[in-house]
Amino acid sequence: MTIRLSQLHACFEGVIPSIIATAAADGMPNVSYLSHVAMVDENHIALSNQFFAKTSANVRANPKAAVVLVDGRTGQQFALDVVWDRVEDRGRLFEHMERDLRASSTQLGWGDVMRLRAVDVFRVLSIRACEPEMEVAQASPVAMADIAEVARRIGSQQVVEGVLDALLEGVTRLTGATAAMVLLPEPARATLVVTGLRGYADGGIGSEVPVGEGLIGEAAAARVPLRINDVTRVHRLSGAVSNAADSEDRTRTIALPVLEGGMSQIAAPMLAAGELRGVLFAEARERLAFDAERQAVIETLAVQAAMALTGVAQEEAEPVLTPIAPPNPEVPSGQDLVITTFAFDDSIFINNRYVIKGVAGRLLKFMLERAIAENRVDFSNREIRLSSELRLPEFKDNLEARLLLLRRRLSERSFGIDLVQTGRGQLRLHMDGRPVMMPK
Amino acid sequence: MSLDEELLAFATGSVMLVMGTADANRQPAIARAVGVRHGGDEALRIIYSRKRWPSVAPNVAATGLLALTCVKPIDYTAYQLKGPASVGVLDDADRQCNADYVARAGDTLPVSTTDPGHAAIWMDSEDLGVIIQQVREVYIQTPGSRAGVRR
Repeated sequence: MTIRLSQLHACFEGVIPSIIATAAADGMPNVSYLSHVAMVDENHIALSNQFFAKTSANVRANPKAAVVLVDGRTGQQFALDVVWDRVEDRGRLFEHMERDLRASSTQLGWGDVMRLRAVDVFRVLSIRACEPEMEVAQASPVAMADIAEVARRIGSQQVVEGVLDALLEGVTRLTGATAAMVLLPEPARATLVVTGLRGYADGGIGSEVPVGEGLIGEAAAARVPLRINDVTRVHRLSGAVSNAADSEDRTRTIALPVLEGGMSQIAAPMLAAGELRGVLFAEARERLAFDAERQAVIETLAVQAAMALTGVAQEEAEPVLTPIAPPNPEVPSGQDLVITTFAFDDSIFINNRYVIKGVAGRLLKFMLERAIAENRVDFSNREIRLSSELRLPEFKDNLEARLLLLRRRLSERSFGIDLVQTGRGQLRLHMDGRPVMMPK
Repeated sequence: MSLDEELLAFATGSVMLVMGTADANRQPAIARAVGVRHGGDEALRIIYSRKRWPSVAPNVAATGLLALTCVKPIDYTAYQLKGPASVGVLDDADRQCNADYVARAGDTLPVSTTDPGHAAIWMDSEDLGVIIQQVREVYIQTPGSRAGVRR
C-alpha cells in the first residue's frame, strides 16, 4: 500500500524526534536527530536546520538522504528516501518553522540554543512503513455541519458571556478538548485575563498571562496559533504559580487553571479586523489531541468568536436608553465587609482577600463607593461608561467583558459580595454585610 | 584512542542507538540498533533486527562504513561514532547483549516524552544480525554550541 505524507501528520508534531542520515562525498554516513520536521506538500518535507552543519555540508555534496519519522501516538516508524531540494532562510515556510521552534524552545527553557538558521526542503522519493503489520493511525474527521452549527450559535449571541460560553462548549465538544478557556486582553497592562473557562475543577477566573510569555502569551504576541502535543516536555507556565488560595492574597496573582494530566495544549489568537480580541486556549489529556484538522477547527471558531465579540462591543457602544437607576435603600446593614483598595495596581480586597485588579478592580471600587455614598445597589452600564473617574479604555476594549470578569470572579470565590445582571445593561450588587471602604 | 572506557560505558549503557549506512550509490539509510557490546580493542559489535532494517547488511557490505549515534534520552547527551564496518556472525554473547539491552530499555529508555509502548516497538529483535564497527572518529552530538565537534 502506498503511504502518503498527509497520512503521517502525527509524525510532524515533534513529540518523538525524527532522524536524518546523509552521506559525505567519501561515502561516510552521518546521523542527526531533528527537532522539527514539517510537511510542505504531498511530495516535500522541510527540516529545521539548527545545529547540524555536517548534514548541511553532506546534502550539498550528495543530495540523497534518509529520514525516519515516528508517529507520536503509536511509535510506528516510517523510513523515507529523500533528496535535498533547496534551502530557505526567509519566507512563509521559514517563519512558520521558526515560530514553532521558538515556542517549544521557550517552553523547554532552551532559549536561543535552538535558534533556526535555515530550513532545508527535501523531495520525498519513497515512504516505507518499518512496521508494516501496524495500520497507519488515522484521526476521525470533524464534520463541517457540526462546525457550522457551533459557528452559527456563536454568531447569534448578543452578549459577551453568551459568545464565550458558546465558544467553549463548541470547542470542547468538537475537538475532544477536556478543558478550555478564553483570555481577553487588558492592553494597558499588556496582559491577558481569563474571563471564561470550561472543564477546570478549581476555576481560575481572573488569572493573568503576560503577553509574550508561555504558549498563550506567545500566541497573542505573534498572533498565530501555537500548540504543544506533549507537555511533559515543557515547563508549564502555571507551574511557577502557586496553587494555594491564600497566595492570591499575598501575591495578588490568581493561579492559572490547571488540567490535571493535561498532555496537549493549543492557543489560538482571536482576531477580528486585524485586532486581537482574545486568546482561546484548549487542552486535553491525550498526546497529539490537536492535529492539523482540530487546529483548523479551533482557529475557525476563535475567529468567529472574535467577530461576534466585536459586534457585541459595537452594539454596546451605541447609546443605551436606560435611565440611571434611582437611589434605593437596599444596602444591607449588619456585619462589616472591609473593602481595601490599592491605587498603584487598582487591586481590591474584601475582608483581606484578594479579589481582582486592573479595570475590573476599578469597576468594583466605583460601584461600592456609590453604594455607600448613595445607599443604592443598582447600576447601569451607561452610568459606568460615562464615569470619567473610571478611566475606562476605549469602547473596543469592551466594558461588558470587564463586568463579566468581575461577576464571575465574585461568584467563583464567594467574597460576600456578588454582582448579578438584572436586565440588559443593568447590574445589582448583592452584599452579605455593610461595605466599609479602606483605601490605601 | 577513540573508544576509551568512558565512551565504551556510555555506548553500552542505557542509550538509544541509531545506525547510519549508505549504499554504493551513496543513498543513506537509517536503522535502530538493539544492543552494543565491546568487540575488542576499538571495535563495537552492534546488534540489530535484520527484518526491520533490511538495508544495513548490504550497505555495510558494499561500502564498509558505518556511523552510530548513542543518545541518552534523559538529558540528550549524545555521541556519534564513525569508522569502517563489516558484517559479523551473531553469537550467543550478542544474543545475551540484546536480551540485556531490551530488558534494561523497558525501565530506563522510555523517558517522559515517550510512551513505554513506543520503545517496545523500537526494541523489536526479530531476526538479529550484527555489525562490527572499528571506532575511528567520535563526535559530540549533544544539542548546543559544541554539537558536531570532534571529541
